[in-house]
Formats: sequence, structure tokens, C-alpha cells
Amino acid sequence: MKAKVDSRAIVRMATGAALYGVFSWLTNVLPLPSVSLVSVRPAIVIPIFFGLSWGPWVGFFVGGVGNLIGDTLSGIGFYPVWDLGNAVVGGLAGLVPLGRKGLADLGTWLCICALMILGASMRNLNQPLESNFLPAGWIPSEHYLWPIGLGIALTATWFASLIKARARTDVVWGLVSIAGGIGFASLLDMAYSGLSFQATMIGQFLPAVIVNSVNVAVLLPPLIRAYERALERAGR
Amino acid sequence: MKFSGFRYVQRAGVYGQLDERARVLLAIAGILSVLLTWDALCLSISASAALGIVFASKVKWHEIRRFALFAGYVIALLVLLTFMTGEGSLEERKLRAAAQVLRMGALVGFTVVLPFTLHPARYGLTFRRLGCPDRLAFAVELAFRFVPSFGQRLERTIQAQAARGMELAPSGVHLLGRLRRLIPVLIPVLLDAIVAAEDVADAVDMRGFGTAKRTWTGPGRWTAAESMVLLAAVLLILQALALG
Repeated sequence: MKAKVDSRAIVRMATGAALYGVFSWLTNVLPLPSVSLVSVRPAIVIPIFFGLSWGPWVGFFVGGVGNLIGDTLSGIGFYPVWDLGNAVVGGLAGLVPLGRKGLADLGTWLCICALMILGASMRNLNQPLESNFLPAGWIPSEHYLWPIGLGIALTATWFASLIKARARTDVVWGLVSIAGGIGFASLLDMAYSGLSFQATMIGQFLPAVIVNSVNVAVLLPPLIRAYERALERAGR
Repeated sequence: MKFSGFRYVQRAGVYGQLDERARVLLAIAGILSVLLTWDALCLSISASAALGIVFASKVKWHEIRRFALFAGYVIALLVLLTFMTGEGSLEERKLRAAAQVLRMGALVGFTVVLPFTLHPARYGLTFRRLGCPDRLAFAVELAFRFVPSFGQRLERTIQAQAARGMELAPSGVHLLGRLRRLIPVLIPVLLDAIVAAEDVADAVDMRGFGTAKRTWTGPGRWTAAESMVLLAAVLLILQALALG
């Protein structure tokens, strides 16, 4: 793991943060239907890619400062909780070089476990939202929440089997870091936004995690492949 | 899509003449005061302070119009959704919605003028003088300096791909298809930037960065006016703590 912050790491931090900011600006105009500011943000692959390639500090900085730059460029103000959440996404992704060789299977299992826990936690979300607006019972009954969780886990496993081993580790860790970072920010944001736990999880955490997972699964493998080819061509 | 970036201009007026540190501290204090409370009175005070900063900054309406409209749209959307999904009686939710408008409006007000009034070449200096370590301050400065050039690269790449017949967001294409269409834009810009970063890193190394204590130079003075602003910033936080 490249944890040392030398001059090369500093330049990479700055480059990644600026790139994440600019690409976030490009896509910040596409907010998702959710109870908070969740936008379709394909640029989330940038902090994950920088974290995977150059370690947790680079990923942490790229996620945090990049999100701040993106929000500044869009003019929607600073949201420290979500800056921190994005930083955690990049930082967690940066932990993968700890032992890349042994992590292929471990990463897959961690992802499956995370999804199972998510499915299990949906049991707690079974109570109808305390709202006068939404019809009671709009959340599916717990009888078929478990199969939904299991279905998501199996789909993720099938999807993981389609990706080549190296990219699979990266994608799986990307997904884990997204769940970790967004989960962290969502829980912190509960106090700040005044949302209930159920509304936070259903209206904020799930839309953000699902969309960002799709972003990572689609964009991260070609990005890593292109970078490796560029390295080979450059002889670095 | 036109990338506008940060448009810094030296401003007249009290706010424009303040030391950058005072402006950053005021913004941080404002954000904290807003985050610390849901009390409508406290939030009204913070929102008024934010509005005062926007007027005092002498930033013209046409400069921030795009930001204000987008922020207004986001605030309206979020307040509506929170109102619909919130807990409590109708009266409580109305009060909560009003507080949320004040809160988010204040957050935007405290921060929207910063990029227009902070010199892009002084981010590092400002953060260093605020006590950040050299490396962190340098990284922040570099990041903000890279933004305009990467924005232009992104614009050029989108135009180049459009000239080859690629539409970034064509109608009738599903989300996955649209994501895949980002690959020909994302990868060239990213790889180009990473390769360029290696050259910048070489240049930084050749100048001996990090081998000795770094010195920073630039204009800036801390006068009575800055101390008054700092006092106001502390009062903002205290009123949020006391009344909230």
C-alpha cells in the first residue's frame, strides 16, 4: 500500500480532485428522485480508481476535495457530511492494495455479506413511514424482503463472475467502498437533514448505492484496462 | 455544454478587501452555525448573515444567476420531498420545511460567493496561513488550479467526440447506454490528466519540493476589520449553540 504522501502523491491528489470536481459538475444536473441531493454521478469511479491505484490517502483527498469542487462549480453550497462520505468512498477503495493477491475471493465474499446484511436490515425498514402523505404499507411485506436481498446477492455474484479476476476485485471493492462511504454519510446526514432512519435508508442510501454501483460496474473495468494499457505503452 | 469554471475578479467594497483567511473563517463559521441547529430564529439570523455576505461581496446577479436558479431548484425539490416523507403533524412539517429552506439557503449564501472572491492562486497560501500542513495546502491549491484546464480538456473531448458523431445523452437511450457513452469522454480526459500529472510531479520533484521547509509569500494582512469579522463568526456559532 502506498500510504506515504510524497510529492507524486500530492500531484495525483490534486489531479484526481480536479477531475472528480469537473466530471461531477458535468453530471450534477441530473438529480435522482430521492429525499436528498443524490445525483446520477458516473464520476464516482474517479475517487475509487485513484484510491485503488495510489492508496487510501489519495482516494480520501480525491473524494472529499473533488466533491467540494464539484458542488462549488455547481453552486449548490458545501455539504461537509457528503464531502466526508465521498472521501470515505475513496479512502476505503484505497485499502485494497493492502494485499491484492489474496483479496479476490475475500472481496467477493465481503460484497455478498454486505448485500445479505442489507437484505436483513430491510426487515427493520418494514414499518410504514410515519407520514400523513404516503399510503401505509407501501413498503413490501417482510415475507418477500428476504428473497429480494438474496436475489440482489445472487445477481451480484453472477455479475462478478462475468468480470475478469483483477477487475472483479476492483469492482467488488469499489462496491464495498460505495456502500461504506454512502452508508456513513447517510447515517451522519440523518441528524443534519432531520429524516427518519427509514426515510434515510429507503430514500437516500438505497438510490445512491444502487445507481453508483451501476456506475462503478460499467465504468471501472474499462477505465482500469485503459490505464494498464497506457502504462504498458509508456513503459512505466 | 460550456464550462465556466471559477470567475474571480478583484471586488471593491468591504468584503472584497478583507483578508482571504477572514472570508474563509466566516464561511466555515456560517456553515457550522447552520449545521448546529434547527431553530427557526437561529437559522433566520444565519440566513440574514449569508444574504448580507452575498450583497457585501459585490458579486453581480448575472454572475451567480445560474447557481442561484439551480440551488433554488434543488432546495425546492428537497424541501418538498422532506415535507412529504417527514414525521409529525402538518404544522410541525410546515415549520420544518421553512427551517430547511432557511438552512439550505444560508449554506448556499455562505459559500456561493467564495469562488468569485478568492484569488485562485491564493488557496494554498490561505489554507497554509490558517494552519494547514504544507503538503495539504499545496494539494488544495494545485487542485483548484487544475480545474479550469481540465474543464477545457473535457469540453474539447466532448466536442471532438461529437464531431465523430457521438451524442453524449441522446434521447431514447437507456441509463446503461448513456453510461457507456461516457467512456469515450471519461477515459481520454482521465488518462491525459494522469500522464500530465506525472510531468508535473517530475517538475515538483526537480524543484526539491518537500526536502526543506516551504515558504509561502503573498499579500495579506490581519487588521482590526478582520478581527471584527472573526468576532462575528464566533458570535454566529455561539448563537447557534445557545439558542439552538
